[in-house]
Amino acid sequence: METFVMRTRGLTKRYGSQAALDQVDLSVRRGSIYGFIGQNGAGKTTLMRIVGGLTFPTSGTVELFGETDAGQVNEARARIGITIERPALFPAMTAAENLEVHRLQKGIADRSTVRDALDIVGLQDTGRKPAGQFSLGMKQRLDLAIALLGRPELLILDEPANGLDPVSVVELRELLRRLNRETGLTIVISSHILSELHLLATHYGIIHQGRLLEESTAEQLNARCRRYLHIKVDDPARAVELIGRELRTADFELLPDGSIRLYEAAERPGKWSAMLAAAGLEIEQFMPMGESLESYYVRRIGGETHAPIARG
Amino acid sequence: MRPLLAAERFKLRKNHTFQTLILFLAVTILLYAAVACFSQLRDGGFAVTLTVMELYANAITINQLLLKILLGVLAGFFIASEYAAGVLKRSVSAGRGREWIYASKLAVYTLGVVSAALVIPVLAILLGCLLNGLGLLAGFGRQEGVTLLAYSLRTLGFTALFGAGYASIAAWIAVWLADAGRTIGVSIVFFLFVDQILNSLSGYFPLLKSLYDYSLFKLFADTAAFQMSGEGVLLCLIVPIATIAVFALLGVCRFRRKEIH
Repeated sequence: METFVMRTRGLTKRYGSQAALDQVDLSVRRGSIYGFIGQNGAGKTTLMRIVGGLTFPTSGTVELFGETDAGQVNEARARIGITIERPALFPAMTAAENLEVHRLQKGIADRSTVRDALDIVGLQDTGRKPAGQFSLGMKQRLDLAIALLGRPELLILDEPANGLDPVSVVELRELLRRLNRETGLTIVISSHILSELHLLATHYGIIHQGRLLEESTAEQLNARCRRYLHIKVDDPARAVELIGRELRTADFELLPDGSIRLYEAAERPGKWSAMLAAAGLEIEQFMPMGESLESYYVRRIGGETHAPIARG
Repeated sequence: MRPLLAAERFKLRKNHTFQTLILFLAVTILLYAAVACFSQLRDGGFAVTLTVMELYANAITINQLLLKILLGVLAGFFIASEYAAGVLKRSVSAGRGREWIYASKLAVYTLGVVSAALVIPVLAILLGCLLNGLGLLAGFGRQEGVTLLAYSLRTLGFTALFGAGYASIAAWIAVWLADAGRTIGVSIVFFLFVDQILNSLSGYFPLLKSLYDYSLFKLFADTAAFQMSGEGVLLCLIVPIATIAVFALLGVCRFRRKEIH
């Protein structure tokens, strides 16, 4: 059995002179949950659309389940469940009828798969209500149920938490975890809720302006998300001077609200709080913190979460 | 192909626009028959009722006009709307060849158009028979009689065949425009006015006249004639079949290259 269910090599998509994707080499391991991170317009959806066969690459290749020939890659798409952008539903049909269309289309003989799919996403009681009258969250869940029809081996989800309330977000996360754990389903999921993604993904890919900046496992990424000391004192300028002199480090940030992020000393908080107190500074806040995935992501793409007034 | 056809048939059955069109066509012919029945001509105090043949022949003419409208409406709501709803994304990403997706969609859309195109003629025969009983062609100044059976079988067959020909063009328009509203608007305007435009222009361009004379648009009107030559019948068989072949191929080529949004 192949190690990678999906790979792209040199995948490039240009619209005129604009590169939506630029030489993307991405690899998704069987059984993983691949968190695909990027801003709007970074190229996530374009990549998913190419993998789904909806749009054609300018150059480069897509490999699915070890297949690289265009015809075989297309056939291999039968093993994928995919939701891209907004929910794709027949608005005048009920949830069951929407699923029935796709059951017939996929040639699934067992009619009970429709009921099972509705049960999985909790839409079994929607009756005769047309899908067009569903809330966005219900539409998202029905979209997911359609993607799960026929027990796909790879599930590609583009911003599946959009429009979901907090409880539904948790339910979705648990459902995806369960499917991954119990059936070995490989999941590629893009989301702008990075904290949510952080709770789910086993692997990450960060894409920015069409380029894949990095791929890493969750462990590698956690190691890269740096720890720091969050410090707020009555005289930030003096504290900065003190840190520079005593620590001989440039690895800190003075944020606009006057708080300081001290990266280098994160492992020895007691020593530095004592130093600040000894210098007569009044410590308002002093706590060790870990960098969030959001912060790491913003730093990685070269953006700023805050506009530092001074940088060490 | 079979699963795709099954899915398309299911969609057509559930399509509200298709259901409404069938109902509209049935009500139209019922109203027409009722008006024809209650506003009979009188000759010396005696009512001159419309024969089955007269009712049927009138219905065929009405049907040819309505067909040109319903084509676009169904193409818009059955084919082009799938782009807007995004459901076409799923069909394409499900691992089926695009040529088969288009072929199955065209086949079932054609089935829908042909079914709708036959509602008025079939109901006209049934209503005429209910009102008057079966009869021969009369009252049109022709000496040779054409039996209702021969005329109706021929015109029903040509209505279905030409309906399929028109459907292949409308499906091609729908794939090009990929938008329900634009498909409906462009199709209705195109099918309603293409006759007059080609007819007018053919006066200036002899080549266009030959093209128009052997086109689906010109020949469809000819199929309603009571008498047709063998050559005319053959032409009316070949032209729609050739049109279906050409436009189905054009549609497949277009759909294979199309980016699905």
